[in-house]
Amino acid sequence: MIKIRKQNDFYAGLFFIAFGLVTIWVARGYPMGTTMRMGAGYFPIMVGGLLTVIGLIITATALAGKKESFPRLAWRPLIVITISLVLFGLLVKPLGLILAIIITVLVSRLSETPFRWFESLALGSFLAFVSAALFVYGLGLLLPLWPRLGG
Amino acid sequence: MEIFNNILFGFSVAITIKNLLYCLIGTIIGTLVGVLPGLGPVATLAMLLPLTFGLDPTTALIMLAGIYYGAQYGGSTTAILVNIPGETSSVVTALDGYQMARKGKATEALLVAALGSFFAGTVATFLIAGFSPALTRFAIGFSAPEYFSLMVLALIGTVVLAHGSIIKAVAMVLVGLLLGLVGQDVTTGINRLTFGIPELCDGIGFVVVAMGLFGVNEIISSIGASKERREVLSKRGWGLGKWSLSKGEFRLAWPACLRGTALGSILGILPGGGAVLASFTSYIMEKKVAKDPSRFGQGAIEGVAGPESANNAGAQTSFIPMLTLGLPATPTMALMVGALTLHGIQPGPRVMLEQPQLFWGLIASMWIGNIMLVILNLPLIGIWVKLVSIKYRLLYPAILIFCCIGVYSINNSMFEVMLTAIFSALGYLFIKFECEPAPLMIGMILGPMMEENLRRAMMISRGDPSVFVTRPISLTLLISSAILLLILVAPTIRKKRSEAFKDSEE
Repeated sequence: MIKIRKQNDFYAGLFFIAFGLVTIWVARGYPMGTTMRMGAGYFPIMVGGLLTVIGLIITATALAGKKESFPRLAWRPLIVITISLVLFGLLVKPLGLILAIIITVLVSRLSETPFRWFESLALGSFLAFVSAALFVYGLGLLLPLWPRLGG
Repeated sequence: MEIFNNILFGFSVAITIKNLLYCLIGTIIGTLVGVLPGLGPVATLAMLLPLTFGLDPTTALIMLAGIYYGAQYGGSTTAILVNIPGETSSVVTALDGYQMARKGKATEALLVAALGSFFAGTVATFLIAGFSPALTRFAIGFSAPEYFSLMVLALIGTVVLAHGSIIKAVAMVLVGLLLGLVGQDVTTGINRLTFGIPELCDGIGFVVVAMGLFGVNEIISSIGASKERREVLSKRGWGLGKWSLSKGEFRLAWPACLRGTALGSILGILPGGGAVLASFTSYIMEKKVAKDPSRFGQGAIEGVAGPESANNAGAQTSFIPMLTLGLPATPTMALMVGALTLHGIQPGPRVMLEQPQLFWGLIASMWIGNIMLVILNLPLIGIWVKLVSIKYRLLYPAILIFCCIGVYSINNSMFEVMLTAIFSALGYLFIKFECEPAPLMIGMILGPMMEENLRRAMMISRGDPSVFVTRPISLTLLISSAILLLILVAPTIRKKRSEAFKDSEE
């Protein structure tokens, strides 16, 4: 942790620069106001500018140091878990909680090998049952359980 | 005595069937969270926050607080018995606690952890009750310049106490400040940084960010970790002996417990401190003061007593700045501030004056909750240990689903679930960048408050920035920030700081 991996810093710095610049670019249209009466743009541009400067410092120091490679990203879980979240968001309204949960669980289990069909399906069904009992019947959350038929 | 009257009033609020019940539920959920690795208090609080909408704010906060300090208890149980710290704050407990268990002293370790935590919790409860009114009276005279300077101090404190690179922690705070600004500007009504997305006009929900950065991100990292540590866990038998300590053990444990409580109470109040830092620092301190440091890692009882007292004390005293100033010291407290706001209570010094039942009821409930934890945990140990042996591949889909339902049920918004997905991926990237997410979270909560107070301060002073140094309290706060910063860049301290973190990150 303490040993600085320079490539990390390099990309982290670029990220911060980008974040700062985008903020300034988006906020450029907001009224700046005066120091006494600050407009909507004053604070974001101030903070965005500071972030850009700090990003530059991080990137610059990273360039000066000795080279160390970026840690390997676990692409598979990263992509699969992100997609399964998006799927839940998309499916819960049209398909209802039960099916959305089963599908989300099945997809999320694709993040590792080997994929276990039966176990995942059983787990999904179990979680769907528990969630329905706990959140919908128990706590009274307003979530549709099943697909709405006939719209 | 005013303090005792206040505490008695608190008990009259906390001891109702409803509040006791929710305190119990909170502590049980907290213990569960503490036991299960990969599910931390921040994610759990974010998950359960929407479910407290129907409760009155006092009851809601009693339950949420129970989850937080309950997690400190639960984490230590599994750390001792199966060498799996369920919580970051109990990582050091596993070092000596598990060695004690291997030597047949599991009950002694558990007892010391429980009693130490209970003692620390009691002291911390009284500290909160004693200090808060004074701090509130002090803070009630604050106006915009003081608040702004106070937030500067809080943010710098967060940076100082963050792990790893300082400058990256500063950058993360700034990113947080900017994220906090997204949405409609309170003063001018202009929609800022929304990229034309109507859902963003209300701002980015902190539950969404907390869930992404602390909940889902943790799942991605755990699956991505090269070897599955939990799978190779051996189910070793651990005999539970008599629930008692020998005289020699007691003599070693109680001073450690006192030191841990003192250290934890102080660190808990500092911004960025809280339970995790308290337990790590306490372990290092115990090792330093011990006559024979080589016993550490071999089952030294002080190595359990100190950190366990410290993390519980720290968990509770971190409520002090949150309750009196409205300033969150840790991401968990940031969520508590959010919970108050969602219930329509403006966090700050007025909470104690306008909502005394909430303030004192919460404090009294912490003490009651601590008793519940001691009584509950010991007989339930068998269940907690069984839970740990659940395979992670069965656990993470459950965490994921609960995160989804938690986020979705805040506003029934599919957009917020998508946003959580983005923050999960971003959080994973931050981990790879070696950037701590905690400063971002605190910056995000403070962002709008800081801008508001900066604006007001400039209005009062007619655009003269010297207002921050001409008002004595504001000046003192800024000087403290400067000293903190100076200490930070001083090379010797910097070395010490990295050593401390290196020590703590086995």
